[in-house]
Amino acid sequence: MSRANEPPRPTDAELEILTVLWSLGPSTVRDVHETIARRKPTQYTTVLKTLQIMAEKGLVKRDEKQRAHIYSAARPREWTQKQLAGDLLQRAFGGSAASLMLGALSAHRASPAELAELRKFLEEYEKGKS
Amino acid sequence: MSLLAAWIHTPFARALGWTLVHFLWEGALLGMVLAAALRVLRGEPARQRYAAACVVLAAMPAAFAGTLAAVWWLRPVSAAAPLRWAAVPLSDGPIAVPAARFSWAMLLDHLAWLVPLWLLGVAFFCARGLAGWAAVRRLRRRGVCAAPEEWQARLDRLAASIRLSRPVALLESCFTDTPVLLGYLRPAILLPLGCLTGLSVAQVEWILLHELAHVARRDYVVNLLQSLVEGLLFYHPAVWWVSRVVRAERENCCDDRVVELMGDARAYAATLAVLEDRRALVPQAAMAATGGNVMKRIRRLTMEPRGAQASVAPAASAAVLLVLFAAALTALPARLPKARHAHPIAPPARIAMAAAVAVQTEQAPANGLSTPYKKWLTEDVAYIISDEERAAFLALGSDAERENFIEQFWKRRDPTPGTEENEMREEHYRRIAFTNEHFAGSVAGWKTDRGRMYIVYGPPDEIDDHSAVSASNPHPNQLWRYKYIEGIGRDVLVEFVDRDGTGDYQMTKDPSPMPAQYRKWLNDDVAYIITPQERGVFQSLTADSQRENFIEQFWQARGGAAAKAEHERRMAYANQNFTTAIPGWKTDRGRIYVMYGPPDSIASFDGSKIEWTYKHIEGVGNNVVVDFQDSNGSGEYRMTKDPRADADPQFQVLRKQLAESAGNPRRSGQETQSRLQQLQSKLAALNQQIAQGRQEEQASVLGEDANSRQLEQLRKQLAETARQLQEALPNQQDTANAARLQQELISRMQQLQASRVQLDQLVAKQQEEERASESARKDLQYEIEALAATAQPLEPGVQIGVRVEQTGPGNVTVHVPLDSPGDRYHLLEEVLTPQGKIVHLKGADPTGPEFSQPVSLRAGKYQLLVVMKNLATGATHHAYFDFTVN
Repeated sequence: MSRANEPPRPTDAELEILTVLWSLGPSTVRDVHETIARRKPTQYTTVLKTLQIMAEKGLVKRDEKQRAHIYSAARPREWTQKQLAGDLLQRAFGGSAASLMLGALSAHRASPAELAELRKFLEEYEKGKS
Repeated sequence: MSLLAAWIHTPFARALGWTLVHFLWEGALLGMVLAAALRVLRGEPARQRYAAACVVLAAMPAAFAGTLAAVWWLRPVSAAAPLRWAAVPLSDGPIAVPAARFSWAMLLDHLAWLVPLWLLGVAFFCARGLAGWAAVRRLRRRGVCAAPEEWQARLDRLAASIRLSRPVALLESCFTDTPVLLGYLRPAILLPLGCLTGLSVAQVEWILLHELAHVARRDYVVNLLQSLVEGLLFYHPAVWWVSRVVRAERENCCDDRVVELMGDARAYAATLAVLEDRRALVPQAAMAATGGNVMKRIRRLTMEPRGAQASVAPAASAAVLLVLFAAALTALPARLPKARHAHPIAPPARIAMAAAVAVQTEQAPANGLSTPYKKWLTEDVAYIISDEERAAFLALGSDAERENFIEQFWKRRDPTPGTEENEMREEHYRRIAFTNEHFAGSVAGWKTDRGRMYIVYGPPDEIDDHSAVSASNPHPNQLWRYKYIEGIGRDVLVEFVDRDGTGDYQMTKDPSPMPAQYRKWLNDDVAYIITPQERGVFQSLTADSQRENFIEQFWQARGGAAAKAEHERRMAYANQNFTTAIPGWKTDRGRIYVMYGPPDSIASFDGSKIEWTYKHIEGVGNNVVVDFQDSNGSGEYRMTKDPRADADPQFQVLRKQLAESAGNPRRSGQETQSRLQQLQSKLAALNQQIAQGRQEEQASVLGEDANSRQLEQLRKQLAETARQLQEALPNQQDTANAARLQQELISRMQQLQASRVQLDQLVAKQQEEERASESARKDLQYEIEALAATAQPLEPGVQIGVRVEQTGPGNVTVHVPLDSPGDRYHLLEEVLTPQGKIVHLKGADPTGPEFSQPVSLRAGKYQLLVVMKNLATGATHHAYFDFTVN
């Protein structure tokens, strides 16, 4: 269980690329670049360079079997999310941020009792449908 | 600490303290009001309960502010007011005071510390809000990526389906575990990663629709205000409870909207359940202590309404609080007689009082104006001053500024800025005087509807007066007709009716502009074929459906779709074949063609003249000949006055018809002529101004490129205006065009005025640097202008023996022969005009046959202006001589 084997915490730019990879699944540099460029103007070479660095750090895996290299996230999203959950700002002020956002669900998660009730409702719903 | 201790005993801090205490029962009362309202609204749509909760939430800070204001205004102002927060006189030493009273005083003294504590709390919530805002910003930027394009497209379609025009971005984020909406100006929906792939398309659309409903309802703003109220009144549980009700009902409102649009409440409820279920899979640092509300919403969506969400607990606790504080308040005044003055008025009265104060201060500026300026603003120019100007005028602080403003106000509207008189101002006051003389009834003439119309738009072109009352005409009325009103249209009809016989005529309908497409239809599409009566009817219509109906009837009366198609073909033909600088249908040939169709024969003479012959024109006669001429080679043929026209009444009838059909005024030719002459003389004056400007420019060292370019540009514009005016001349009927030209002319004159002001400033700056005194220099300048303007250039071939001798660095002697050559010319004047600098050479005694003058000049190029008189003819001539000083 050596810490050295664990990839380091991603930077913001790296995190954005990881998000794209989690969203799209294994992708070429072009796919990643196109998705990022839709939100803000970004150079293709910047994305390529960042992906190469991330591959060295062990944040992404590179599949070189095909002519266009395919990149995929080295770790599942949940793992990284847990790693980033220690983000002080996010944790300390998550509550106040939540009250500034509007969501389909309340900022507070359902309690275990509610979850149980919810699942019962879902089961009934599925039964009613079939 | 002593500073703080001193502060908390200031009157304001005391007022704040009392307000904090009073709000305890006020908040509780408001909470109970909401609880009762929710009970009444049980089973009503969520938006009603939401509205009730919002009103109560808004009433809380209002009550707080009102209480603060009331406590502040009613504070004891006597000099004897004790310094201590509690109104217990200090002289009542502890020995003299019974134990109970003493403890009250102590308690109140300590209560004073509530204020700083409360401020501390507010600061904390402010900081928390700012930090939250920063976190939201980070959430939007960090660990997000744009959702696949097909999803963005789906979102746009959904937004369009609920008529939401603002763009909403769709992002996927690895930091959120539930779909959220952020941002107000640039809203974005954040979906947790995996949401798009883990749910069905319909389920995602339901969720997106829920978020879009938030955007459409502008919930984000309400939520922000709500957070502010929470922060301000954080210490009161009722505030938090009301706020929670608002949040819950807001979600219910959006749920209702989604179900309204998509139906199938159960499937939507299941989507929420799946979403909540999936959320549990995402790891979280700490489990939230309080549960969410999703199950309540699911129950509400899938079952019959079970009643208001309000539980008994908050209502009960509010009631307890209320009773407690009511008791405390009744006890306090009895024991603290002086403090009673601070709160004898019930809250509603206090709020009303605060509102009254606010209104008073708001009106103060207008009331602060002294009478002449108030009258100027609210009477003299009330109808023509713009909102911005009004605001600017009210903001002025001194009478000098106001005088200046009024001067500028009229200057901006002066059609001839160069002249002493201001035609616009004179006309305006003439109109006011006219209305007061003619329209006055129970109110002053200028205040009546007719007065307003007259002042703003001037005298109407026609008035149909029906002041005689009869069975068919129960009320005296007047119909005013304006041929053309800028910005409203042609043939504007305004009806005034005197309903009660008092002489107060009231406008029945504001001549509001009709929609652009109908204006185009009336003034462009069918301008030539609609009769004046039809035009009047069409302009009196108010609803678009009526207009559509009218258009249909219009074509029916002319033979239906075939006539319409033929008319459109003619318009298209005219545009295709006669278009020059102006669209083909507006040309003379276009007009004739659209009205009467293709001529039976066309003859062309020497390339600039065309003759059209119609065998028969209904209402005009047989063998109608129309001549067109292209006088300036521009390709635009104008209808000329046929040489046979005088003998041939046909032509005049045709012209009259044309004039009428184009909706032009039946102004007499003379009138139009004189108007155009006016315009032309104005133009001439302008050209003169420009010439003057150019001379000034020449005389100025600062006659730099920018200036001359500007003037050149203006000159070109004016030349263009002149050309248009020339064009307008033969086309006398076209008043609209002339009006437009006049407008243009006025605006150009204003431009010219502005550039002249600039030029004057530059010249003035230059003058400061002059060695010669200001007045001397000016005199000289005028002299030069006069000379250059009156003198002619020297006749060709005539030589004057002007010599410039360089006597040293920067020193020259100018020699000008007094008489030359052959004694035909005599020297009158000589002026050295280096660029911008003027040195008058005259003054030295002429000795001998020539005039010699030593001058000290800086190195550079100079010009000498010499004015000679031709002894034979008596005419003056001028010549320029260039020389260089080393």
